Amino acid sequence: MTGPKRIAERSVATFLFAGAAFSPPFLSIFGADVFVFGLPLLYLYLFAVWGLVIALVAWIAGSDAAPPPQGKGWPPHAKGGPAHAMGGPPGGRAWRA
Amino acid sequence: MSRTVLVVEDEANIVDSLSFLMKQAGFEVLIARDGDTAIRMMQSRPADLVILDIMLPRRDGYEVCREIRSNPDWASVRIIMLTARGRESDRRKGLQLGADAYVTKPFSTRDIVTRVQELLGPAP
Amino acid sequence: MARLAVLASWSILAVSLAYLCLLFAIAYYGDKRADAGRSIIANPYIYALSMAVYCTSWTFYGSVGRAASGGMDFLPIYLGPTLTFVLWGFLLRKLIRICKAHRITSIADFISSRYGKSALLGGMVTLIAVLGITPYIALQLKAVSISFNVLVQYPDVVMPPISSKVPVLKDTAFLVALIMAVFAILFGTRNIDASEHHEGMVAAIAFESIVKLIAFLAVGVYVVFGLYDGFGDLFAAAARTPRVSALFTSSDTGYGSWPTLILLSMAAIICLPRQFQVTVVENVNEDHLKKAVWLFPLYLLIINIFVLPIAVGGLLHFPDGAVDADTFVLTVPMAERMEGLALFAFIGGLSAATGMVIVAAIALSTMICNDLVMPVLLRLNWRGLAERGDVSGLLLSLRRGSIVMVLLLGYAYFRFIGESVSLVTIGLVSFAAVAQFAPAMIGGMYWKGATRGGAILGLSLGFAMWLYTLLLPLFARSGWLPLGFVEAGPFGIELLRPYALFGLDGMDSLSHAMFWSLAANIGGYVLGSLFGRPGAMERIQAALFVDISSHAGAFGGTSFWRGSATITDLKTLLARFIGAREAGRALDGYARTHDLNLGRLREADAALVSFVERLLAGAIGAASARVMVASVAKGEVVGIEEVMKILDETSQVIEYSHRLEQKSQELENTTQELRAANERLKELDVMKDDFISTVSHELRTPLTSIRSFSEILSDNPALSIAERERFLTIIVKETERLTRLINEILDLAKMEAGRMDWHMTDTDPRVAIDEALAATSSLLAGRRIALTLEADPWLPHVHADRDRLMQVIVNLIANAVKFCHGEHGEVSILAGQLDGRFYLGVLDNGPGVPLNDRQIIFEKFQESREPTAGRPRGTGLGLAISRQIVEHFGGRIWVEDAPGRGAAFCFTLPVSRPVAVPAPGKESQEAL
Repeated sequence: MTGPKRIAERSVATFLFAGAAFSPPFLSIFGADVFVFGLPLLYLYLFAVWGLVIALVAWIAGSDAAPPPQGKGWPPHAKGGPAHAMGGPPGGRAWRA
Repeated sequence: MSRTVLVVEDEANIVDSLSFLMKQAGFEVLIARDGDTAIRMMQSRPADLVILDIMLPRRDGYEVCREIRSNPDWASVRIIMLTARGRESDRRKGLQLGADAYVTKPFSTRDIVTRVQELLGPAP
Repeated sequence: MARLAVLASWSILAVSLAYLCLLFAIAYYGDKRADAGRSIIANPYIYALSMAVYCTSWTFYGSVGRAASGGMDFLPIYLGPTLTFVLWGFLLRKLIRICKAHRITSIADFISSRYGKSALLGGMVTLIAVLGITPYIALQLKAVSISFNVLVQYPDVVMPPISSKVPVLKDTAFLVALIMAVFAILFGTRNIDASEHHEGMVAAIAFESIVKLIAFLAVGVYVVFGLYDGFGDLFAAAARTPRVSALFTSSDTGYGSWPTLILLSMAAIICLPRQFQVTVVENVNEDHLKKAVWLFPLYLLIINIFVLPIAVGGLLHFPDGAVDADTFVLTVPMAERMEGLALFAFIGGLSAATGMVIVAAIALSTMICNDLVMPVLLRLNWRGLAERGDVSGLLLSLRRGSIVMVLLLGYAYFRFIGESVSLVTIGLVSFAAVAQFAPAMIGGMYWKGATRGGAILGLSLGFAMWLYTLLLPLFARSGWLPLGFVEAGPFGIELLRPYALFGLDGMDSLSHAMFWSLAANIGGYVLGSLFGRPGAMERIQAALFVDISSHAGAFGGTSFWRGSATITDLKTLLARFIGAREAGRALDGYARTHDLNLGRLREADAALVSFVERLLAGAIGAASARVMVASVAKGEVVGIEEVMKILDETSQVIEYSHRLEQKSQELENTTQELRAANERLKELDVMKDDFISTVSHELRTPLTSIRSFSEILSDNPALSIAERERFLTIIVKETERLTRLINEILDLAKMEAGRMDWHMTDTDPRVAIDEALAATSSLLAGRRIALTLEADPWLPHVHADRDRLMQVIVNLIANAVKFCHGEHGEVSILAGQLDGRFYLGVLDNGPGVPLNDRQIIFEKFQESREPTAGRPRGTGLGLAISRQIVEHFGGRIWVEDAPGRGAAFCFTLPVSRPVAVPAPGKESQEAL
């Protein structure tokens, strides 16, 4: 299991990588009149980098084990207090017309 | 009839020296190298006195001592415990089990001969 | 002809209507399942597919049009959402948590609620959203209308006439708008509580996302593999046509617009009302986000793969430019007489359009109703709204009315402006409008100091800039304003030209507009916040939003009532807005979970008042709910100082208890460690005692022999020479044994204490083996033992202390000699390599070592206590020392069964220098 801090660091790094890869200087470089496997280089480059970023997000999100905050109750207001507020009625389905 | 001393000890050189000393003092010497042999020898020919090492293979000295003391036939058998462990607790344990004397290695040769002679009394 | 009838206008209409009915059936089924508590949408896949409502006609038709003129320029709009989703852990998750905690129903509600439940802000956001999204809805109407009009011309490929010349009632776009309004009403206004999930709608949207994806891919696959022989063939054909091949290498703007487009779409994916609706409001489980964050970008990637190929295919197919590139998805199959595929493509485009329109209309109508109309009505006290009457019916009518209004607005925009501009341009104008929400929204989630004043200032300035630099020029270009306004500036003032404001020239118009509007927006927001004074409610809401994770459990309530209201009053209030039955059910549910008897209670406590307010907020928005509850609650809102104190105290208590928990955990750990250390000490003490007693025993044994024989010799001068010599030999031998023992004990003690002097060098094990054989030759003297050495000719060198290595080998040989067969003793030494390590084994043919003893024989004084009569006695330390040495060299020592009979003591050591020459064979050496 990976800690929330590491998840955050990885996310930011991936973001910066993608931001750089899609920046005009790189696009100009890969916008050359070159065909690879019969495909325009820019077309290939964009989809490859994009796919890589998606794979990284999948990996990062998959390694996140943080439970949603609802799991942790707050004892001082266990009863009668506003502690119940998060979810509304069970299932949130009670008021359908 | 000369009295017999059974030396129970697994260390060959110590057996050698004890049997020399006992023979010189006029006793007949029997030798056992481990606890089981010691009991068997007692059964076939009870000795008058047993010099019993504690750290023995198979059955240790304490067990042999207990076995001898539990048999009324051998009530008169004298036992000298011989140990290389210097601990007071070992000594007390030996005496509680019915040993007549407790000698710590390395022993004085004169001392051990004297002890044996004292325990067996003057020759008949 | 039957063939042509497939695409007659009546049959297209019939198929379209049938498809819309199928959608409605899915939505109906989804709602039914939801009512039965067996949701069909509660999984990350449906969630991700519903996000794909992002892909509209713009994607379906417009991207191809864009690609036909700008190459890859169509793509950044899809890269931006991917980038935002990379940061999901910071943005989306927090957004969802906040909205769930506060029952937020729309982006207007979010911003209003964050800045002190400001009705003004909510209204502004709604207004901007409606004005901003109207072009976007127009885009969908335009796409459906054009695609329909193109399709009915089949088999001819002709561009339809300008629709503004057609009377409104005969205009396809108008009919489309009406049909879509009906569907949006059917899907979206079945419930009063807008924070409730629209499960049926989500199911239908997800289905549409599948249809449009498959339709687009079908056209793409047909173009690439049907018309051409794969991608290579298509691009090769394109490369031969200079006008087309230019698309692959250059872009209109030299990629200068990419950062703007990426930034814009990054904002759009959370700021667009429909995306906010499906991503945040319709989220049923926060965990679904973890899969959706990559599934949705993956969807975008897949649907975009064929955009460029279709554009290229279209350009090659219609080289004369008579066919609008925005229609290639439809016209290429038509020109090839693939009527089935053309119809499917049309349905795909219809899917993309209806999905967007339905969700956008529902989201906008909720905003219009909750954040625009209701606050105004309440303020005007229209028909005594605040006092009496059941208004739930009114609420529903308001929502339905807003939906119709939104679609008519879209139609009007289409009719007046839409004809002259491309699909993508229209869409980007919308993106730029909603991007104005981003500063107030994201800032509000992270910056407690942001105030209502700042948000209002930023939004107004940003919106004004958008209006001036983007929308007005568009009106001018459509002929509704004089073109001179754009070219020469208003009243001829050059500095105010909308496409080159204050002389900022040389940027594309979108980047230019984004620069000015965001600069004005963020500047106004930050300065307004810094120089204004936040009100009480603002500070409370700021703390609740920014610190959602620490307050969520403690305060879900969005207001703090000191006073109380009667239960009857609250119930009446609720009943007016959500209906009597729902109100009763909600209060009963609350009473059950909180163990209250509402029948007996007269006064509601603060918690119940807050609960009612949140419930109302779901139906009429946070700002209105607050006003309504204030009208029945006797008390007033607790003073700011007090609330901040409560919040601070809560934070402190949480912090304190957290620290306390940590401390007690630490204490627990320390106690555990102490206990373990104590146990270990006791164990060590016993071990030390045992060790001393054992050492004492081992030392006393040879000493006993020495003393006895010395005394015998001294007391018996008359002993024979032979006997004297025998006794003296014993004394010498035992003295040697004693010396050896003391040395080994000292060695071992030093090794264990880490004070041993090691002389580690690169050592040839062969030398150590030879020396060990020489040193042990005396052990074998006079005994019938065959010692053999079998070693690889080239042994790898090891990093070791040579003397100590020799000592290990000597110990093992001595051990083997001691235990090998008494009559036909055999000891063999094997040396070589094993798994890249140096290996040495000493095998004997003795009794072997029982499995149980294989570990402990390497302990001190743990030599097998089996009788060893007649054999030289060891010290009981040899193996323990050997283990210490081998482990110090980084190796491992163990005992196993020798082949046949006996024990094999083996050790391996890491190699310092591998063998340079491969070993050709084995050399055998007879040592004895």
